[in-house]
Amino acid sequence: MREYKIVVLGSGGVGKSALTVQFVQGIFVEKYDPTIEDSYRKQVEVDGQQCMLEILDTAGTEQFTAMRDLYMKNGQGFVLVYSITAQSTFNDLQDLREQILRVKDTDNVPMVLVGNKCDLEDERVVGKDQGSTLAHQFGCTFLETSAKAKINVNDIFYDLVQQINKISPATKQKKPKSGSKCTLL
Amino acid sequence: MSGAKFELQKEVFEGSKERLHGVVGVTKTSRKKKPSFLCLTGSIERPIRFTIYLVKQTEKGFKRKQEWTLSSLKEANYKAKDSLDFDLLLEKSYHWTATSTEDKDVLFSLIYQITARMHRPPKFINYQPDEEGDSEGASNIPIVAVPKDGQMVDSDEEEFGLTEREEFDLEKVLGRAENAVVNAEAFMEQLAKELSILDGENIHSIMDSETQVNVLMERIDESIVQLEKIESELTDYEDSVVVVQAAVEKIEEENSQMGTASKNQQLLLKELSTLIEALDFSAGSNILNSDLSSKEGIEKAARDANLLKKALDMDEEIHPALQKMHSVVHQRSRLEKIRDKFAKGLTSHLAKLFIHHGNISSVDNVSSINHFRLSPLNLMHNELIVYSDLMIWLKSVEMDCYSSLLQKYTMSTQKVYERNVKALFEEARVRISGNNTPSSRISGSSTDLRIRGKFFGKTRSLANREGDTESQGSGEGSVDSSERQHFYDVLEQLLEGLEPGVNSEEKFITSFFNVDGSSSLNTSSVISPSKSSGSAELRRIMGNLFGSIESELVAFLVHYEKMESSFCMGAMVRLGNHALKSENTSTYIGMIYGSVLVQEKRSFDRLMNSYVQAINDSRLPRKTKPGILPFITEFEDFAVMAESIFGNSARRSDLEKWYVKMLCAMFDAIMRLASDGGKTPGEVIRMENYHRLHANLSQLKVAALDVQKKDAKTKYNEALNGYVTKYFGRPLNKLNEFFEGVQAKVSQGVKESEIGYQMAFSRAELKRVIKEYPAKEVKKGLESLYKKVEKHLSEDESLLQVVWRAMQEEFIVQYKSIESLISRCYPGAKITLEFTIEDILLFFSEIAQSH
Repeated sequence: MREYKIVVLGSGGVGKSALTVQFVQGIFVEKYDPTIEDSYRKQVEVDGQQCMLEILDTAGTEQFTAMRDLYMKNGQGFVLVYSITAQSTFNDLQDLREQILRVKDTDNVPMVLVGNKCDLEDERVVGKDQGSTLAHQFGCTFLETSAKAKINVNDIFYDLVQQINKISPATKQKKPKSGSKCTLL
Repeated sequence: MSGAKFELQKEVFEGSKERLHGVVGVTKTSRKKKPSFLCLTGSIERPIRFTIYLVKQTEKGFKRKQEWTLSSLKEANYKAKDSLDFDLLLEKSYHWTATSTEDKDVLFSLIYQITARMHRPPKFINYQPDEEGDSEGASNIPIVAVPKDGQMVDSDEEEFGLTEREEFDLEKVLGRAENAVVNAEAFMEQLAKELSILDGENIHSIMDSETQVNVLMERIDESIVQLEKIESELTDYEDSVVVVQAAVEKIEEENSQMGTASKNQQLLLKELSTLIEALDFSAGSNILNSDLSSKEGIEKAARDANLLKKALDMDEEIHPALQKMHSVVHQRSRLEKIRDKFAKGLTSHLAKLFIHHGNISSVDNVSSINHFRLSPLNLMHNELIVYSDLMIWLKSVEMDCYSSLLQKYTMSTQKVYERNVKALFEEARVRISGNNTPSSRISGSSTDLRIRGKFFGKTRSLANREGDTESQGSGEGSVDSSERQHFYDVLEQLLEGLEPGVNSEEKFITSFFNVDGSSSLNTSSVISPSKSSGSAELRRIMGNLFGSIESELVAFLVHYEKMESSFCMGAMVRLGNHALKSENTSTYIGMIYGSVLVQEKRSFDRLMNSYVQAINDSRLPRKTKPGILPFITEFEDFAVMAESIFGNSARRSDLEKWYVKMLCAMFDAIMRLASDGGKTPGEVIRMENYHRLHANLSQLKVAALDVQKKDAKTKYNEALNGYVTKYFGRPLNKLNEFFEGVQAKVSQGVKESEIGYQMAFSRAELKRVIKEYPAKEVKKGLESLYKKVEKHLSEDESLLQVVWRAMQEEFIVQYKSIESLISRCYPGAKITLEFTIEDILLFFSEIAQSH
């Protein structure tokens, strides 16, 4: 079974752990305890294939910035989370993405931009268009989610797995169906 | 004729802006035709042009037939005085006959008067102008000056018809000669006489006036001469005025040029003075001699240096052209030289100071070890901080010097810190191995190790899946916990001791080396890239200085965790407290702690995972009675320890996550082990262990584990019931079988009251079965059951009484059900069992007491 190393990044308190735990265990964790680092494993089926996701839920607070390089080096796909109720968490992602690209030394890194807490529409500060604009700029998928209301949570990880598959197909490389034909020059 | 004259004026000449002076009705002499009017007019506009018109009167009105200018009149023939005929030679000769002599006279006198002043007056033939002296028309003609070219220059207002005065005069003349009507002849004569007299007077006056005219002419000539003179003078004046004007214009031009020049000069002066002011650096070479050892000297030098920088930074304000000026270039190079020299001097001075302090501080570190903390290099900081303005200057001006200084500083201080950090960790190790208890200091280390060894062995056992091999005396717990506490205390002191030193160094570097990108000076010249890059630079410097802390701390923790892996729990809590406190959010030490914390968290996760694995892999102890499974008791110890470590710390949630996982694993393991319990029934294993687990969880009072606690309780009850029903079995077996048969019949449809008529279930049969269970037998049976239970159950949980009681209840339930069946199926038979409930209770308590 193929393993997928997924890293969840974002500022403190945006709901990285809530999203991860909701996805892995189907529970919404109400209480806020700043995470240091937690790793989870979960087997899922994506596009008819069994995948083992190894999800690293990271710390959002500044003290742990030194660890980020390592996370980025080891991760294959990244979930960049912000909270739609706090502009600063949205602004922080630009630097984070740049760091990922720097560490990975490529522009094409599987990534999903996630605006969490979309159930708190009343407290919204970051518009949906802002999110999609940034995602467009990043060239990645954009989802507004709610770990509490179970909105789009699974989609994050499925999409990421698909992105990883696309960028580095499994060892058995399938020939594209519409195979290129010989051309006379 | 005046009527015709008026009409002619109105109808013919007003349109052509001409004034009719005289008119005479004429007919052509040759032909007898309708009379026409010969008119003499002058234009109203000047110059006055006199014209002769021949106007015809038709039914429609007057019509101009022919016209001639008066100047074209060459000859006028008056012919005879009595005759009405006269000739005018214009372009050809015309012969007209006037309607009356008066008219003819008037015309001639008019022509004469007008033409008299002309350059070339026509020739008058047979005409005596004097004779016409009293003609009325003459007085109507104004005195006109006819210039040489024949055009009239002046003309007064003229009147047509008689003026009032003339009328008055005429009336007077006529009035005077009232008798004229009577005696016209006499009147005529008188008039003629008067006329001649008047003529004479007239001639006289004319004669008299001639001299006057001559005088006048002379005067006029004179005045003309004068005028000419004046004119020439005026011309002279004009000439000179023109000359003056040219001069004035020239002066004016020069004046404005001078203004521009002076303005330019002023601007130039201003430009130059700002330039000079900008480039002026009066301190000059003073700065090179400034005293860098005294505070005043440093301040002054900083001021001078900033002025110098200002002078050198003037590029933006100085026009690029001016920068090419020789003196500017010169001054700049002079300033640059001063700057370079000063920067070099400053650099070497500071470098010396760094080395000096590096040496002092390294000698000084003993005291810091005694206080068990990384003491900040306050002495050096205080001495250096006064240079921070100069450092800002240096950074903005001479980046090379700045970085070389930074490097030197890093090198000299890094050594000090590295040594101090190392010493600090050394001290921590010493303290952990019992330095703080003087009594054990000499002989301490070996006993310490021994005690620890036991303890470590025990907790490691959980991780190393060795289960029951180690003895587990409860007495050792207190020693363990104090030992553990001691380690954590030292760790706490260590973490606390590191913080102030690192933080004060960080503050110092921020202000001294100006790395936060927020200096007051370089706002314009250096655009601070971003906050993050400034802090990245700071992080890099701090990393150079304190790189050893992280590695030392990690090595320290790894070392002790190798001996006692559960130390990572406390380390995680303590580190968490330090790393996550708000004042450490963006400090370097906070980051180091954060990174180490992540590693500790990983160790913790590994440890916990190994516990879970150990539980998953656990086997039944090779004893006849498995009793309480080792991981259950181990979990108890673990939980007590974990609670004492985590308490209400922020990291508690991490622990609780693992609690849940461990309990799940334990439930699974209990189930798994119970099913292959060998001799011991699975129910007993489950019962005992769930019971113990539940008791333990109740004691722990962890809210997060309430679900598991309830679960344990239900599982325990299930196991107890299962055990009792299975092993209490049927002490009254035959009775039970008998009544099972009864119940089977009943369910087949046999009435309960008719059971007694069945062969197999007759009363006699019942009595026979009952007889098999006398009270004595029952008691014997119970005793053997008790022994069996006793054999099953372990001493660990002392559940024997509980189980016994449950069995007693079960027995009573069975007894009661049999009794009720007897009363229902065999009513009135008066059959009872050979023992009562009281007997049962007595048997149970007797058996329990006897053991």
